[in-house]
Parts: sequence; structure tokens; C-alpha cells
Amino acid sequence: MVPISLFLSLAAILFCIGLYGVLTRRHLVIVLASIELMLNSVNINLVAFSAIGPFANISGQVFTLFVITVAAAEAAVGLAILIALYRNRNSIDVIKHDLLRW
Amino acid sequence: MIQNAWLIPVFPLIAFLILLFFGRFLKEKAAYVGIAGLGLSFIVSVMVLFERIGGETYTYVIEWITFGESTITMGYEVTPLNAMMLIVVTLVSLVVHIFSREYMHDDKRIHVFYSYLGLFSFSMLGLVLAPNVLQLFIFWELVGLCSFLLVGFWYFKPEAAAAAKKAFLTTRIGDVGLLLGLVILFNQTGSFDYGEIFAAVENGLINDTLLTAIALLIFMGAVGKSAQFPLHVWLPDAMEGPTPVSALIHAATMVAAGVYLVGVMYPLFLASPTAMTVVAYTGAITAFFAATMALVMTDIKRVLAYSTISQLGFMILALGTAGYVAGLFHLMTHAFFKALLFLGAGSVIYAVHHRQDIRDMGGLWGKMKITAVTFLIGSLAIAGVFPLAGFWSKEEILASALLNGDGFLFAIALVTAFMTAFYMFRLFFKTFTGEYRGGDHDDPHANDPGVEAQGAASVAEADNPRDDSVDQDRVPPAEDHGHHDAPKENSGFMTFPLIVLASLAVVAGFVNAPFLGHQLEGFLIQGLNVGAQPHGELWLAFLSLAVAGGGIALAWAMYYKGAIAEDFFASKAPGVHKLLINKYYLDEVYVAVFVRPTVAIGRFFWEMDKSIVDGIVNLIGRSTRGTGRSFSRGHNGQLQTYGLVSILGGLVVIALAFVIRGYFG
Amino acid sequence: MNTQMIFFIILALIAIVCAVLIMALERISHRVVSMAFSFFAVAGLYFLLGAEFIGIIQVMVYVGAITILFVFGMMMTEHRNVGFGPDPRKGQQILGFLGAATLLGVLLYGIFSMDLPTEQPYVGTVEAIGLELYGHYFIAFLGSGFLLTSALIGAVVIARKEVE
Repeated sequence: MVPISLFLSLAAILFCIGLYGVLTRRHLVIVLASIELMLNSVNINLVAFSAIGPFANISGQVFTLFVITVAAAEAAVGLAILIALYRNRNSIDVIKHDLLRW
Repeated sequence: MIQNAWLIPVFPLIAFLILLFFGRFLKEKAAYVGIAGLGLSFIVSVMVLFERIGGETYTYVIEWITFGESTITMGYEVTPLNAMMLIVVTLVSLVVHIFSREYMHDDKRIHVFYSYLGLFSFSMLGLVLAPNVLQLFIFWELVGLCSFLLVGFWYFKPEAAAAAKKAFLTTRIGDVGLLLGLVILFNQTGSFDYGEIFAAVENGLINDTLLTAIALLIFMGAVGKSAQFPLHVWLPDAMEGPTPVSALIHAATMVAAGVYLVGVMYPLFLASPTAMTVVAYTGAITAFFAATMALVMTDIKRVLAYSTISQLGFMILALGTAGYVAGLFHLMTHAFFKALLFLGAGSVIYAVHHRQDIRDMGGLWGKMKITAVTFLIGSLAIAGVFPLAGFWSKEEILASALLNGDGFLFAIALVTAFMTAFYMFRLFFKTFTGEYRGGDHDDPHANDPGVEAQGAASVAEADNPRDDSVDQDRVPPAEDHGHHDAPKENSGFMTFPLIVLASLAVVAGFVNAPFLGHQLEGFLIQGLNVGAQPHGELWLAFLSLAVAGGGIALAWAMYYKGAIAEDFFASKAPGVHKLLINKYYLDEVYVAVFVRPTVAIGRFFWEMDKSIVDGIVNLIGRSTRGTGRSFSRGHNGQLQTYGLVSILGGLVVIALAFVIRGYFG
Repeated sequence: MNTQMIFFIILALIAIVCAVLIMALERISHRVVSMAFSFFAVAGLYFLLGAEFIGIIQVMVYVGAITILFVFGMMMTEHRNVGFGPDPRKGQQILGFLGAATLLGVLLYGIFSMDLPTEQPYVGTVEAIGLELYGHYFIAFLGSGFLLTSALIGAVVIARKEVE
């Protein structure tokens, strides 16, 4: 039996890789991919606790389903925005989009 | 009608309000609103006077504030004194209103001018009708405000603005004294009502020292308002205002208020011999000093201004020597002929394109017949020639100075009377006889050395009497008069007031003429305990007449005939002449003693405020702005930077929780 | 070292390595493929935990749908020149790495200092999920349906060409 702490550690590692990607990558597609990675790591946690946590029950898996739903919606809308942005500004470099400024 | 005396000040107030709200639509027609208001006031005043002559003093008051045992009332009162004053004020104000219709018609702000005139008349009439000293004080301050507004009417002229400020601040010194006096008075008697105050004085409820102090403090107010030495300096500068305003201030409203105050509080003064002596000597000194300065002034309005101060000194002198009726009688006659002289001067100034230097005038006798004749009547009246108004009142003042004062006061009064005749006729001859010297607009006296010395040193004063170039610019549309040619007589709006006032200057004296039984005296002292009024003997009348004749003759010899060179005295005693030209250097002394140190203190505190108080405030503001600026640099629109910052911030929070709460073990 | 442990280590290594490759690879298409593998490995972990339904959903949604979406997104935008040149934000790179690493350290410290009991693994059946979903979480389930519908419409509206 694999101890739960290993699953949690794996999730933490994936989460931090995703975070690093969100903070530093310049390609918007990769930033979105990093966000998906972070959501995945959360799912790992949920499923792990659902299976071998102190209060294991089915709720974790249901939550995972919801997270996957939200992730799918987010990916669809996010990519749509990305395409619209590219069409209007002709770039998907994060650095070039700094209109949200004083 | 006497019950409706309150209408008298209300009409000018209504005129003021109408002009305040609708003046800009009325423009020149504003004049008729003002004239109508004052006309109604005058009619009511006349009716009130006639009713008062046969009747009783009428008082109507309502309770205003009650606290403890004291009640302050508001209302109005018709006594003999203020019935007379009502006539004088409304009449002079009315003719000034009529005169200004022509004099000011080029001014774009004529409706403002008329609204100020209305407010001024309202204030003065309210002051006169007041049944208690508190109400009097309220209107007193209103009068001060209006004089400020009117003297500074051409506020775009720096001289006028400075003069208005000077008038306001100088009279303020006196007002502080007056207010203190009233406070002590209320403290001692518990009432502001004239009757109760005088009853308390007569019953000896106030001890003598305090009484003298009160009287002197109240007199301080009169000194400021009536331009007595040493607070007279504002009046000559107030000449920067429009000429009709000068007439109003000098004859009926502002300066009369001071004398009226002394007259109204007379029983209080009578109870304190010390105060009476101070009053008498102040009046005498003022009369003398002002007259000497009037001898050398070259600005037509300034000569008249100093003459006013001098005549006011006469009135104060009379009041100070128990000549109650003499002083107030002179107040009335002086109102008429001084208004006449000022309006005449205004007429002349208007005719010669807003120039005021008598050295640029001359020869106007043939060109302006009505003005010249009326001006001559005014001059004769002020000089005290039989049988004009000034003769009767001046003779009574001399009598009072002789009989109740001492030889010194009498001598001063006599010398001053002589100088009065001299400077008035110097003015008259210079203006109306000889050749016209104002043909070109160049200023032939621009390099007058005495004047330059005078204009140089003072900060607070704006009284360069030779400022002709400014005079031409002072009314911008003055160039549109259409009379760049030789001066000519003005229209009826200007000459009618002159004729009215001239006839009054002739007959006004008879109301208190000895051979008609001193009618005014009998009217004024009824119900008052002011002692026996002094009356001179016949030789005094002849002496007075001789003095006046001497002055006129000397002026005639110097300025008309040329028998004595014009600069005869100036060259004999250049030091004295320079002293007089510079008005005894009083302005300079005031500037050095009062203004400069005050300004220095003010500047010191200003610097303090600027460097320390403002410094702290600015430091706070600047550091806030600096913080904001440095933080705004972080606000660069880069989403990833924001994300990084929030992650780092979260880490800091975790670190804090770690350290403080010992999480995770 | 039992079989589960071996499978766990293999799957975890694949997930981590593929995640790192998402960040490290040059070409954008390689990165997306690497992402798909990472998701695939995570799906394997779900099987390992006895959550087969979730694992299958993971494969279908993430590996199938989302990855295809990314491929489309990649194709419709800047996929040829992937490099934007040298990054001008050196501080951002370093601080981002440090921040993520510190967070990871904190998380790992927290995880290993926790004393979690190891119990018998709970096996959630599809039936249990269905009962829970249509019973206890019914409102949320409806809500997610609305969310997906609006996301669908929204994506179409945002991404379509503006009508000239």
C-alpha cells in the first residue's frame, strides 16, 4: 500500500511546477496548460484522500468530477479568449499584453 | 406718520435688494430705482419731522433677547436729534443719487454703485433711528462696510483698493474702542437703552473713573469714524472713491456718524469733565492740523477732504465745550454745504475729463456758470460769511469755545476759521478764475519734487494726489464722453442737485438764527438735560466775519489779483511747506511705527507657518505621493508579476504564521 | 517494495518528468504532447487508488478533449515561431522559481510532519458516485451543466470572427 503522503507529495510537486509555469512562461498556451496541471494536482489530492484518507468516502471523487467539469469549461473559454486576443493583437506573448495598467 | 418712521430706512433697503437681484438687467435705469427709494424716504422723513416738531418722542421696540434680568430690544425711535438727522441724511443721499445718474453713467457697474449707495443710506438711516446703542453699533459697522465697498468701488485701481483697506482698518481701531466702551457700559448698567443708561449716569451708579473710561472709549469710535486726529488719515485717501461717494461720506453718512454718536451719548460725556476736555482738545487739534494741510493740497478733492476733517474738528470742539446745539447745528449746515462743494467738485472733475489737480484748472467761471456760482455759495458758506449757513453755526461754535473752553481753544478755532476761508477761496480762485490750464492732457507737474518725496515711502497709503495719468484711466469709458474739447456746463442731473444744495446752504442757517429765536436749539434740547447753551455776543459775530473776510482777502490777493506771489509763503518757510505737503509725515510715521512692525510680525509667522506647519503637511502629502508613485511602478500590467507578488505575499504570511503560531509542529 | 509502490513510482516519475518537459521543451506541439502524457500518468494513478471511474473520465476529458482543444488553440495562433527571444524579466524568472520552490518546501514539510493514519483503502464504485451525484449534489450537478452550456456558448461567441 502506498502511503498517502507520497500522493500528496506528488501533487505538491506537480502544483509547484504548474505554478512556476504560470509565473514565468511567456506563451499563453503554455500558461493555460500550466493551469490545467495545477488543477490536476488538486484532483490527485482529492482522489487520494477519498481512497486512503482519514475519513475516506466518495465525496472526493464527486468533487473531482466537478473540478474536471470546471477545468474543461475553463480550457474552452480560455482558448477562445486566446484566439480572440491573437486575432486582435497579433501576439500571444504575455509580456505584450499589459493594458491592465495605470 | 411718525409710527411709520421705520419705512425710512426700508425704502433704500428695498432699492438695494432690487438692484442686487435685478441690477444687471436694469443697467442705467438702476439710477431711477435708487432715486425713487431715496425720494420716498425723504418724503417720509419730512412728514416725520413735522409731526415730531409738534409731538412727542416716539419709541417702538420689541424684545429681541432676554437673559437673566437683562433684555435687549430692537426697534426705532424718533427724537428731535434723529428727526433732524433723517432729513439731512435722506436729502443729501437723494441729491447724491440724482447727481450720480450723470456722473456715473459711463460706468458699466452703475447698478452695483447704486445698490451700494442704497445699502449705505439704509445703514446710516438705521443707525440714526436706533433706540439703543447695540443696534446703533450694528448699523455703525454696516456703515463702515459700505464705505469700504464704495471707496474701493474702482477696485481695479490699486490706489482705490489700498484706500478702501486703509479706511476700513483705520476706522476699525476706533470701533474696537467703541465696542469695549459698550461692553463696559452694559456691564455697569445692564442695558443698552439710551434712557436707562442716562438714568444710571445721572443717579451716579457708575463711578467716575469708569465713566471717564467709557466716555473715552466711545469717543474713540467717533474719532475713527469722524476722522479725528490721530485717526484722520483714512479720509483723504478715501478720495479715491467716486466723487459722489465722497460727497455722501463727507456730508451725510460716514463721518457724520461719529459726531452723531457723541451727540446721542451726550449726557454720558457731560458727566465726565475729563472726557469733555479730551473731546474738546481733540476737536481743536484736528481742526487746526487739517486746516493747515488743506492750505497746500493741490488735488481739489483732497482740499475738500481736509476741510471736512477740519470742520468735523469744529463740531467735536463744540460738543467738547458743552455746545451741544452748536456742534449738531454745524453738523447739519456742514452737511449741506460740504455736499454742495463735493458735488461741485465732481461737476468740475467731470467737465475737465476726470482730472483733479487745481493747477490744471482755472478759468471755469465763464464756462460753467451754474457750477461756479453754486460753488462760490458753498465756499462762502463754509468760510462763514453772513448770512449763509456756515456763519450761524460757526459763530455758535466760537461762542461755545470762548465761553466754556479756554483761551487756547478759542484762539485755535479763530485761526482755523481764518485758514478755512483762505484755503476755500484759494481753491475757488484757482479753479474758476484765471486762464484755463488744462488744455492738453500732458501733465505739467509730473516732476513736482515735494510730491515724489511723498509718494515714495509709504506702503499702506495710496495717496499720490498728482496721479493724473491714472485719473484719466480710472473710468475706462471716460474717453467716450465726447467732450475732449473745452469744459462746459453739465446736464440737469448734475446742476439740479447743486442748485438745491446751494439754496439750502443759504437758508439752513436761519433755523437757529438768534434773531429768529434759536428755533433749532429749542427743538433739539427738549427733554434733554444738556445745560444752558452758550450764545455769543454781537462782537463775536463781527470778529468771526472779519476773520473770514481776512482769509478771503488774502486768497484774493494771492490767487486772483497776484499782489502777493503764490509761492510767497512756501519760499519763506520751505520746511513748513514741505511738512504740510507731506501731511506732517503722519502716514510715514504710522507706516514705520504700526504697519511695518505688524507686517514684520505677520511675515515672521507666515514664514513659520510656511516652513514648519506647511512643511509638516507637505511632508505628509509628499511622502504619500512618493509612496504611491513608487508602488505604481510595480503596477506594470504584467499579470505574471502580479501573480508572483501575490505568491510571495502568501509565502510571507505562511512564514509569519510559522514563526508566530508555530504551525506544522 | 510491493507492486503498487513500483507502479506508483513509475507513474509519478512519468507525470513529473512530463510536467517538467512542458516547461522545458522548445516546440509548442511537443509541449502539448508532453502535457497529454502527464495527464495520462495521472489517470494511471487514479486507477492505482481504486478510482477507476475518475481515471476513465480523466483520460476522456483531459487526454482526449482538452489536449485536442490545446492543439486547436496552438494551431490557430503562433505555433511556428515559438521563441519570443530572450526573456527581459530575469528577476521574474528567478523569483518565480524561488517562490515555487519555497512553496514546495513548505508543502512537503507540512505533508511529512503530518501524522496521517493509514487505513484500509476505500473503494468507490460508480454506483456510489451516481447516487451521490444525483442525490446529495444534485443542485451542483445541474449547476455544472449550466456552466458547461454557458462555456460552450461563450467560447463560440468570443472566438468567432467579428461580422464586418
